[in-house]
Amino acid sequence: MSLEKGMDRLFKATNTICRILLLVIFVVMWVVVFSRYFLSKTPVWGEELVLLALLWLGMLSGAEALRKDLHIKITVIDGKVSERFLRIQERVYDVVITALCAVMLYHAVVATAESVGTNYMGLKIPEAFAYAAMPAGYGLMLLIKLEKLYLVLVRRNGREGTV
Amino acid sequence: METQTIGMLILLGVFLFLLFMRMEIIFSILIATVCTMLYLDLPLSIIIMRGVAILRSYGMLAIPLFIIAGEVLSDGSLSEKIIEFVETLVGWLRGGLAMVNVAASTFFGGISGSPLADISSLGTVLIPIMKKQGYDEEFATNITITSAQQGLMIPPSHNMIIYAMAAGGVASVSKLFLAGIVPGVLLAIVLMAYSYVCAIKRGYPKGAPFNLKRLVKTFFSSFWGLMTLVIIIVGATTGVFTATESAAIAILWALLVTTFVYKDMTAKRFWDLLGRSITTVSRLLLVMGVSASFGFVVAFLRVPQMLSGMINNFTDNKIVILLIINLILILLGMIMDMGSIIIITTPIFLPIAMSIGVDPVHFGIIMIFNLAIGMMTPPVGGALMVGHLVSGVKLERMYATLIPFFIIMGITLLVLTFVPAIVMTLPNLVG
Amino acid sequence: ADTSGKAAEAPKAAVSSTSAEGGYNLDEVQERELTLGDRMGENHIMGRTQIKFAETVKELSGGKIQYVKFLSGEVETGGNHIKDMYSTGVINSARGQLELLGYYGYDKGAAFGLPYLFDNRDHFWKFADSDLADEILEDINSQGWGLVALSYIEEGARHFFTTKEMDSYEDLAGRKIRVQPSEIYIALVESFGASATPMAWPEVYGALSTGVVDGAENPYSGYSASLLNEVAPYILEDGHIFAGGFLAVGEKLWNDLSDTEKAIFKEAAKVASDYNREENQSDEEELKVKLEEEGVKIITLSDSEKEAIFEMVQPLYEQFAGDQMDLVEEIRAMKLK
Ligand code: NA
Ligand code: NA
Repeated sequence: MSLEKGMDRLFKATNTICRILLLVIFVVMWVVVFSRYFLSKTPVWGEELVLLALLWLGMLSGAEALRKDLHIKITVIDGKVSERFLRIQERVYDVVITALCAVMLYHAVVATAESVGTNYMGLKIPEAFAYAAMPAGYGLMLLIKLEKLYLVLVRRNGREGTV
Repeated sequence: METQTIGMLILLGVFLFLLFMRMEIIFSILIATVCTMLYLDLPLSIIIMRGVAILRSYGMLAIPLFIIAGEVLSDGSLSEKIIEFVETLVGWLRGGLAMVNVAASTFFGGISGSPLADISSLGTVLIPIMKKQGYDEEFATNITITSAQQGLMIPPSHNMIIYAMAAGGVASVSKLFLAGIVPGVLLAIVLMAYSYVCAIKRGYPKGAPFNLKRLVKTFFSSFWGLMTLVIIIVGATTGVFTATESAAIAILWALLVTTFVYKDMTAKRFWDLLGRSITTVSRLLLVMGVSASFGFVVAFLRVPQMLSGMINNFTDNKIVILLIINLILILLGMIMDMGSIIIITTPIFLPIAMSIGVDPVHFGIIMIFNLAIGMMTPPVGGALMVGHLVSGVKLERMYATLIPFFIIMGITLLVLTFVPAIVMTLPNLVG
Repeated sequence: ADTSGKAAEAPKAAVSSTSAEGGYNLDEVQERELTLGDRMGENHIMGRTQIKFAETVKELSGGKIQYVKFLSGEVETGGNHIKDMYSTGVINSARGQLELLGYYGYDKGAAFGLPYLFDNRDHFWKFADSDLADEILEDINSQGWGLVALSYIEEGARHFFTTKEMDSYEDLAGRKIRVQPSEIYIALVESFGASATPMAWPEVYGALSTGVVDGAENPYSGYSASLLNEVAPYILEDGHIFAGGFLAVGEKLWNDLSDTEKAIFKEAAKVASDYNREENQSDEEELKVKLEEEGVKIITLSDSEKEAIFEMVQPLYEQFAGDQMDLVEEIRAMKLK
């Protein structure tokens, strides 16, 4: 299996997980509203689970958006500089972001490890389940940038603008 | 130079440089934050902790929920039927759809209290219709993000609750709610008038002449869809669910109507709809996640305190002080999250405002209106980003075309600031 | 003041400068700029207690140790999570809440989460002044959380309040009461026959005003700071949890302090603790008068009603005390006759 195929599969799975997280968010809210209104009983884990899903959704979908080059940027200089300038700039940014994601990944792993001992009040799971969204997100972003650098530098056939 | 000044220069300098040199917004924010933290010798683990804290905060939840609600409502025949009804109702009037856009926010944004939620749900439905009818996409987007700001003024508004708490009990929530009604409605009237003028000047088309028979017909065919709005308003005001939960209920209702009444929702279609929602959500949540650390650095550098110190040294003229406070709040609104600004700056600015005779309720309305302007101010106001995402209009196009809307918001703000009666008559009348 | 220990033994230089207040040898005090954080503002009892601590440290150190104060949650990185605050090292001083310690995996924490463990303010402070309380502080400091707890403080007792008229505690039955998403709070509310409704705190004002919930619970300070008297003017003064906590400094800072500096921090923590105790009591008394003038109805409980409620929640002790019953008994035995 080629590198690109593997990455495609990984991010297809990420996208599926994100859709499921989105489903979880509003289905759990229905459960909360209905059980509070009709049964006068509110599940203790409702709010915590919704917010946990939200956190994971934010990090995973944010990483996926990086691979699809969806993140908002201001392209006001595009018409005013040369193609060559833009190409070099993109390489420089790729290297900078790779380093940034590596640093953030390190801090995210440490913070996750430190949160193992603290528990959620209602869900009764360690806070690490929430913190783990951070290394997951930054880790995926690092992979995306490494993939891009590999394709460009080693195979010299980077999918410009789409990776 | 002082550490504080250099820190602020690094933060803003790096951010603006990268932003205009086509770096993604998230990385512009993140790199500026990292550089400043390294300069201040702060541990980078704060970025992780702030990210976790903000991405699982209740206030963030409205964003994905109202984005899905917008997608469900705009998908398939539900929205087509509502559009037919709305076109028949106001299409004969010049600028009618723009006015509907404004009026819808008075009710819908009123309930959600979140301009971002209002733009992502109503904008998803209304911007495409407006484009189809011949409005410029920039105008359609700008009227959507400006009218959404009513949600902050029309009760209920959780930001006013935050203000009341930060004010330490000198302004009651119920008075603030009452005080917000007239400014909210005033903004709506001004925007409708502006829409009418624009429609005539730019020749925005009007549809077929008014037809009562068609109106009745489209009302009945769109009845189940229109009920979504009724359910949200009735449910949220009678205590069946909270404003945030109302989005989840709207999704449920719209899914039931499209599946069982209009019979055009399928599992496949729903799955695709979730995918489209993810595309929008993905570009917003992560920005919020990293902005939290940016806001942390602004607070750590004690920027609001520094700015208020400047006011005290500068002048004791009431009008000038109020103008400066307005300006500072707009500037902060561009770089920090609204709730944090209210909590941090209320204890700083409210005593200054009260010392020059401004009622705390009046000041709350001034503050929230300022923050509303900050939300739609370039480069990266939250309302701008959501508007950009739901309409596809480039951010730099929006900067250029928003100017008349800023003038409208600015004049309304000045009127609210210097004619307290507009704000205070209603709360003083009732209690 | 607690200036005993090594600080007192430290040899004093002939030309040493000493602070007017504490008589400390200021040559052994470094110029320091420290940070403190609290999610409450400068008017709230918790904000004021921390300011008192910072100002006492400044005074005792002859102005050499100064604090930058981040209140109202300006830079707080992790809500109630004291561990987060210390692990970044950005905040040097903060506070912890006893009832939350169980969630950090601290066994004894379970005892402090039990309802009606403390009868009232005097009971809590009798505990705080005891040897047992000192042992608990030491125990907390040995947990490797990166903090050094110095003294006890409190936010007052937590009470129920509702939007609809109440005459006795029995009227809570059947109402929807907002609680934190904690099992013990849920079990407590259910033992009153009410229905527990976990919900995010920022939603509570709105939820009370529209009727999504009928009531909630908090200390007087939180009730008033969140303006809940506007929407839920019936208070059942039952004091189910006495919200005790502690002042603490970061371990990184502590290990860097000289013995004289440590003594200064300890004395300041004691001063802030005394301040907190007196201020919060008089605050609550004044606040209650003000609330009643504004039409808030406060329902107090007779001794026999208190006993009935205590009997009613005994199953919770069996369920949640774990193997901490000895500690519970010891604290209960301190109650004033
Ligand atoms: Na509103
Ligand atoms: Na609108």
